[in-house]
Amino acid sequence: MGLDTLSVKQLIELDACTRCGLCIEWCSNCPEIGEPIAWPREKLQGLKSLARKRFGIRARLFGRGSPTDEALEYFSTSIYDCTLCARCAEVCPVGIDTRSLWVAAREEMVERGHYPKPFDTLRETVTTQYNISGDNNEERLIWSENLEAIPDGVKGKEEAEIVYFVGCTPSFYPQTYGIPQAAVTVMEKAELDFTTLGAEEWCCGYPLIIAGMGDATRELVEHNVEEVRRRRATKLVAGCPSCYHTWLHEYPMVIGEPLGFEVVHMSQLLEQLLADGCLKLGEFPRSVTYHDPCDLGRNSGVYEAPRNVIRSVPGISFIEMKESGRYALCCGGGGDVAMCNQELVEAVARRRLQQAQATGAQALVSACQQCKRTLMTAARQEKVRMRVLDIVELVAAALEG
Amino acid sequence: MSETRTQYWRLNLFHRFIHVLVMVSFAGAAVSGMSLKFRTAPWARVAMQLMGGVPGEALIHRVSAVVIAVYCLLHFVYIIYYVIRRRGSIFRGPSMLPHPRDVVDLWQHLLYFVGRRPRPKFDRFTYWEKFDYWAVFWGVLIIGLSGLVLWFPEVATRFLPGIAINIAHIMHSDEAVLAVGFIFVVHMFNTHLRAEKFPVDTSIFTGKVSEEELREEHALEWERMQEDPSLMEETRVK
Amino acid sequence: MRIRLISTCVVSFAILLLLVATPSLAQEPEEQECWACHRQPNLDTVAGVEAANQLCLDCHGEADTFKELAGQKVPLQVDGATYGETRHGHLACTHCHNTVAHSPHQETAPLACGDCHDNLAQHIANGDAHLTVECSACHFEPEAVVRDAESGVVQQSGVDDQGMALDRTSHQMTEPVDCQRCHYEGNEVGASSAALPPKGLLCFACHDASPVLYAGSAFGAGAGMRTDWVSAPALLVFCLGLVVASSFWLKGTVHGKAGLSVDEKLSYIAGDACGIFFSRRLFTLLKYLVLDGILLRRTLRESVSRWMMHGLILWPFLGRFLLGVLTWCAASFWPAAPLTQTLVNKNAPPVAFTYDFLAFLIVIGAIWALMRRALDSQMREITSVGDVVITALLGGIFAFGFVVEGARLIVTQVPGAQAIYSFAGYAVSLVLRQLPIDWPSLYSYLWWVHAALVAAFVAYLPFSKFFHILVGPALATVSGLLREKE
Repeated sequence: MGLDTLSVKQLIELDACTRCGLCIEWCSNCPEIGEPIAWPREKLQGLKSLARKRFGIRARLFGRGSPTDEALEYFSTSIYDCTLCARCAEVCPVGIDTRSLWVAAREEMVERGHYPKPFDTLRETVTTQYNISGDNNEERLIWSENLEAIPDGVKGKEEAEIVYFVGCTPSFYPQTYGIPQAAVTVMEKAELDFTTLGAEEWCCGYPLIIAGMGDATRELVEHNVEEVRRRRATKLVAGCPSCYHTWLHEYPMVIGEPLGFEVVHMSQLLEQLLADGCLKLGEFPRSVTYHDPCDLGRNSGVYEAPRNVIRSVPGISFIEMKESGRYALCCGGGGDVAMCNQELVEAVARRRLQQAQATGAQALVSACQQCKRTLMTAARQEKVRMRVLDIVELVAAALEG
Repeated sequence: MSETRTQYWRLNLFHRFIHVLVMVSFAGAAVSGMSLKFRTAPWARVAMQLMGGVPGEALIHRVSAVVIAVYCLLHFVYIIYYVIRRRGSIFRGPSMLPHPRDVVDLWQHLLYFVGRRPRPKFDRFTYWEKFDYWAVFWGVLIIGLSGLVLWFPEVATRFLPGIAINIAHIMHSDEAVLAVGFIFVVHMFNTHLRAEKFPVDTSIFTGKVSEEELREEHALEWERMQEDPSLMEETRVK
Repeated sequence: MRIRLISTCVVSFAILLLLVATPSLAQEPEEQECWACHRQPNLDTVAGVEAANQLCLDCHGEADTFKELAGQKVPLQVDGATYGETRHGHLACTHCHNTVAHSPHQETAPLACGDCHDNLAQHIANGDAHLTVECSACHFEPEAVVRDAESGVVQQSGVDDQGMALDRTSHQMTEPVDCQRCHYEGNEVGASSAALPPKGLLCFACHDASPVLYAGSAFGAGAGMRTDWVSAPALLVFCLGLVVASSFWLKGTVHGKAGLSVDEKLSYIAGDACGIFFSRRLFTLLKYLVLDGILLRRTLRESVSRWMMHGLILWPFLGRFLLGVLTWCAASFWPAAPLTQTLVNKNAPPVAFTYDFLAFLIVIGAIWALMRRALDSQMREITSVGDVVITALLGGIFAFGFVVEGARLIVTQVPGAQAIYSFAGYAVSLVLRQLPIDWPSLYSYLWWVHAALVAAFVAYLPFSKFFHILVGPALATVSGLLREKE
């Protein structure tokens, strides 16, 4: 893991950095930290220095160098104080895929033992309890208890066309219970043949992968794939963009073969349902703005589906934020930063909220439960009267009848 | 190139490196030499200018010659290494040495083209690949030795008659024309224009060959590999 | 009867004979006088050349053939046998002296060397200042040369430095050409005080040069200053830098597989390369190279000012390079064409202006970049010592480039009306003229400093951040291609 897995292309990227500083200008976190420690350029040069000490010509002639513990601590802090929003990768003039470099750097830090201590707990929790909260995984459907009528899909079917992969956050954090509640309501309304995995839904592994502990996720991956295959599903719908990204890109690589079923995000499913006329929406005369989740937008390239869904709601007025789409500012909730630097998360969230407020919209719609959680918390702290909705909650609210 | 098709190692790094040297030095020697041989032609004058005039052309030609000599030497060393260290045999089976069977193969292949026989089974090196190799072998010897005579006439004429220079001149330039013609017509066809290979036969660059190609074009080698599973396992690309 | 017939016949025949014979007998002495000069032997034959030369040698073979110049006798005797042993001995006199075959019998134009010789490219390599040097000034005896005040052309002098008329009848060529005929300290023809090497491979990136490495020995005696000592070492170190960088890069994984040997990695890379170059994806590659690598589309998306600033450095540089390549091709393929003649002449107005303008744009871009770095506190922080060194080196190259240009305009005595087209160099030359410096002596050293700075820059490039000049566009192209594949 770590430096040893850096590809030839990634090593070339280390040499291609022109030190232009565009990444620093666009970094979501840098303004909050204000010191070079946070600069993507610093992180890249730090990684280059580590790589040179391992593979460089001097290393091979005179023996591998080792950075000091102080240098490693400094580097570790800069690497982990980052929400992995990938704005730096988006703007780099020479196309360096910085986000992949940051994850590789985290893996290296884990190997060397220079990482925030909470991650040990995280690894323990996820690999033994199969979720990020540490609660009993049998309680995974607790969010459904408040539903008027619990659909068959939630009770659990042996076989179904669609598997709805809920995700850890909405399963265990009450702030976001509304999301799966809305999701199953909508899917029932559209008469889809779906099921959840219930207690057999294990954490997708994303929090460990981005913490640099991806080698601990094998069991999770194999289990989840087996469960979906056992239900003979042809489609997996992920409510969470991070789960979606992990299923789509990481899982086939881990199991070494194609999954055998389609993977979509909820917003894409909604877009399809609305286009096919499976859902009837009533008037919803509100003004909304949309926040692109980093893992759905920049990391997965899904920008239009959620927007199309919003636009198909009759009576809705849609206003774009200043920094949206490919340049969307991060909400602050990603990158496992919440585990070690809550202040940073709140600072970034505050800034994003200000951008949302500036549109004058009544509601802020996103497509990620972590974004919803983070922005809702910020709204509450700043006493901002703005509803924060997930895209599926918006659709559920606009359903006729 | 699909990841799921099985591939086998055919040419190692040394082979591929030598081929790169051959390509570069052949191009250099051919362009510079042709501009000299056909110096009255209009294109030759332009080529000379582009190479830096006659001194430049002479330099390129001699540098290419040195590279040829180097790879020739490296090749001989490799053969010795292959025979002694790797306990390979240059006589049996996967050999580059010509064999009466090659003539039979040629005949059968020609008949196959007109539909009278099935496609013959070739071993590791088909008859045309052997010809390609031996043509270069012969060419390098003839052109190289006559070239040395032309480069160091005072030394050569210490033990050869003066007319050797004239003869060397003819041998050198005529064989060169033959070599260039052969490479551009036969070799390029075999490696680029054949239907199975178009647009390029990548095995000389990647060193790997697909199972399909092995079965079809080197059927005898394939059979040998099937009889020896350890060999198969060793050469298979993981 | 019969006798009358016979005698009439005989007499008529005799008269006829006389009538026919007499004119020819009468014409021959006359005709010989005219035809002695007014005839056209076939100059493509050996006999024709001999016959034509014999005509000239009728006078010029005599010891008392001379002309008057400034009250002195200038000998004009040519020994036919000696001439026949020179390089041009197989040619007729009028092949080269093609304006003398008329009356008055004087040469009205320089020798017609260009009728047969087409070595423009070689002479460009030696510096286009030689475009205004007559062939005979370098290639024939005697050694005295002079610059014509009106035309600016350097030609053979008719008198030596004591004012004594020189015998210029020797048709021996000077081989090898001795550059020190003009290139010495204190020369009066406007040549630099030392002969410099032709612009070679190192110079090819920005200037009109040849992509060749010049070794002094190829040009004979006086090779000291003429040997290009800087290009080869610089390029060697540069190549070494590339090798070091590649060895670092090849430590990475390929196709997600770990534990591969270098052989296997190279195999995969070669396979991928073949897959791109021999397929339609080649055009996708070229598209990303142009859009992202050269036109900097990704930079434009983020910041127009950054794009402008970097573009001002990159595109004029590319422009100069392409202009240099075009000139080299033109000189190689169509040496006699008017376009070529213009392109190789550094002082031709469009050429002079273009080169100066492009360099000027680069300087603007560089100053913009430096100011940005200096004024923005964040940029100041991220600038390291290595960055400053390499940028200073680049700036030095340009600054020195303009100084060398100014000095050249002074040294080669380019008239003001023409020099003004190289506006930047001209402005510099006006300043330089005020300084109490002997520019012809210093010029060669300035040239070498510029070359040395370039050599240092090129050698250091793979080890500095300016490696991005090569790696950046390559990565932008490849990452674009990979993103499109996804």
